Amino acid sequence: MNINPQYHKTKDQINAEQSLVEAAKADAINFRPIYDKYYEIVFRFVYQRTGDQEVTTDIVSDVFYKTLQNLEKYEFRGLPFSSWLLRIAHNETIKFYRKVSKSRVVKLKTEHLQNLTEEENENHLEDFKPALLRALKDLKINDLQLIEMRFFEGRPFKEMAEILNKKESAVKMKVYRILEKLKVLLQKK
Amino acid sequence: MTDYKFDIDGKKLSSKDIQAKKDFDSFLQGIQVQGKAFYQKSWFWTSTGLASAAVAMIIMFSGNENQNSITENSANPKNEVTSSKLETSFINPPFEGLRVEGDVFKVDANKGGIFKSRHGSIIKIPALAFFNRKGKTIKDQTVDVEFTEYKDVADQLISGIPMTYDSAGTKYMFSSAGMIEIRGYIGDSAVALNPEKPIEVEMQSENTSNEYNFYCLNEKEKKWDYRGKDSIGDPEDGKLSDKELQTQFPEIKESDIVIPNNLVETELQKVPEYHKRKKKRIAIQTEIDDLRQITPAKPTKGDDDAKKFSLDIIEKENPELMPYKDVQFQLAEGEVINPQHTSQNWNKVNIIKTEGNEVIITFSKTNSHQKIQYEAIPVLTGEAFEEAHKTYMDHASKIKSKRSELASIEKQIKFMKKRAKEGSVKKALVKAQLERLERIATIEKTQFENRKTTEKVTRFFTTSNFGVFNCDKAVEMGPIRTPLITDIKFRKEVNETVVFHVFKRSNGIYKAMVIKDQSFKEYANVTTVIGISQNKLGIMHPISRNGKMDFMVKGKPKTKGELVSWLEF
Repeated sequence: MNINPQYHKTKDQINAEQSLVEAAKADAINFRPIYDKYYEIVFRFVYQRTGDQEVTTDIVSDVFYKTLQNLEKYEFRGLPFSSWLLRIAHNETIKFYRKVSKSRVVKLKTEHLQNLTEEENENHLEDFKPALLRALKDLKINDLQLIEMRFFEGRPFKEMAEILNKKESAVKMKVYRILEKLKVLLQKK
Repeated sequence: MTDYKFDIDGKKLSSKDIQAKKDFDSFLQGIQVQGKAFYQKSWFWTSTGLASAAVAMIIMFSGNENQNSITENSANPKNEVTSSKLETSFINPPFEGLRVEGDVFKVDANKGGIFKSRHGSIIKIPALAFFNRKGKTIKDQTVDVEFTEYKDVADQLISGIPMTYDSAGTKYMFSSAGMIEIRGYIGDSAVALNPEKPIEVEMQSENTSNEYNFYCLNEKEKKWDYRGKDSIGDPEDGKLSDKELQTQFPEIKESDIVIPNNLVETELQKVPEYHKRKKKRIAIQTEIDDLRQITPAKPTKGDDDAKKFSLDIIEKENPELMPYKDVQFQLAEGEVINPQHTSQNWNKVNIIKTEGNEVIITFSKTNSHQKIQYEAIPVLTGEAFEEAHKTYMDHASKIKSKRSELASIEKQIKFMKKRAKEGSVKKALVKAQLERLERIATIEKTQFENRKTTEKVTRFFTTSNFGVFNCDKAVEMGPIRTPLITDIKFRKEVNETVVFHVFKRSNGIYKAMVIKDQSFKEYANVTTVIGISQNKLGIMHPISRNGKMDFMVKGKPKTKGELVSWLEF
């Protein structure tokens, strides 16, 4: 499985990020580098889940506002700052769907389904795709978002755990269980 | 179960698309209306003591060159929203838990509304007047508009709002004719005002002078911004606003005046020309009536071959035939004379007009009930027809002419009535307008008299932003007495204290930081000098002027009333 390098940082990079955060804590005007640096990452994260640019712009604005509001509470744990930022984005997106009566959007590429099948099924994708989509539709949102993060967005378990505020081992276990569940669902389809 | 919408291989956004949406400046601007002022939140009071101590330390170690300058110590807590830090550190209420009581108006964002404060001030909020931090109009929500009035020096002290004005580097004290604070919130989140929907404030002020200017506290740049002059209205007690005046005494238009017809007729009776025309109209109408009474039947030319007979015509029974000579009766189509009838003597004849030009002729005998009837048409022949035709046409022409004359006279009468009505309306309009002005003048006279007794005015202004607004004039504090070298005693000796010079007559306070062993300026016009140290208030002893600053420590005021009693106002 390909892992998106965007979410992987060296220790030096993470430390540099931390100094940006400290500067922003001192004065809101210093928040600009963080805003500039992470805007696109947050935007893509939210857009992946809404598929609507206008809605995404609004949610992203809320995300940065909440980030600034809670910056003092941020604790450096050796993880990219983006993980914390995306946790806020994740929560804001959930809040958005609670407020509106819209279907949760899941953007994906055919190759992402391929990723999923490579791990789970040897059959040809074209034969398998409709049943797979139906099976995915049967998943609960908490399960589907794990599949989304892992297989459609290529996030490492560590980052997924940080975004979802869970332990890495728990996330791993959960993903494997969901794959098992998918297998069962696929057999029924 | 959640409903999902899978978007497979859909539109992918480019970095350029996303970067185009990025706007940090707008974002920062947006958050500056977000969040309640930090001093209004409970956590502030847990950290303010530490912050004050920190400020004091900074002053102690940063030299004492500006010891009498205004101290704008900002207690910026470490764990609060940065926007609040930026905005509100300028305002620093000195007494923990003590606030000036204000009003909270629940405002329907869609409708706005007009609200009256506990002091009688009016705030008028238009519909759709609020923006959220993204600059979008707030709809379908209730906004809490907090409206606080700072009426006197006690309120000014409690508020912690700086009352000094810097003009070209010189600091002046603000003499206030009224200060208000307006904020808008949804929950804990601040909202902004739509710049295109300013709110109107009619602030009740007990200072009737028009020498005051209007200022807005720039909390970001920590200074008062001059906004021009407010406008002063009449006293509020018993006062009617322009709108109320308009409602109670609406402008009178011509269309509002109703003149009864009999009044117009009475007026016209005084006009001889009107009389003349009315008489003439009656005469013409009489002539027309007369002409119509003898309207001749349209003459019909007799058929040469048809049988006809002659009868004597009685004017009373057949006036329509009377204008004609030699009228004959031609039997209607299909009628045949019974020869037996011609040999008898019929001594009574009755001619009855029917539809069209036909008549029914009844022949009867006076000594029996026998009668016969024939349908016939009155006809004329030869010269008699020509003459009858001419007579008929002359008559018709006469009626037409008289009708035309009558129409002309009626037109003239109508015109005279219209003119008379217009004149009456104009007269009545002028009269009504004068009466209205007299009524308003009476009301205004009463208002003026009320003003003399109440000494209150309404100060009108509009604002497109929330914040603190003050009707002030910048005044000098008066001559300075000999400066003291301070040895400050606040029960025990202290190194520094915040001092407020209270100028009751000017309704203003001047804040300064006093440091031990440094000179302290006291102003001749000052009413009281108070010190605040460790959340406690002390009133400076008069003896202090002889050398040392000694404060009679009163403690922490629990209420405004207590503060006022300590200040002996």
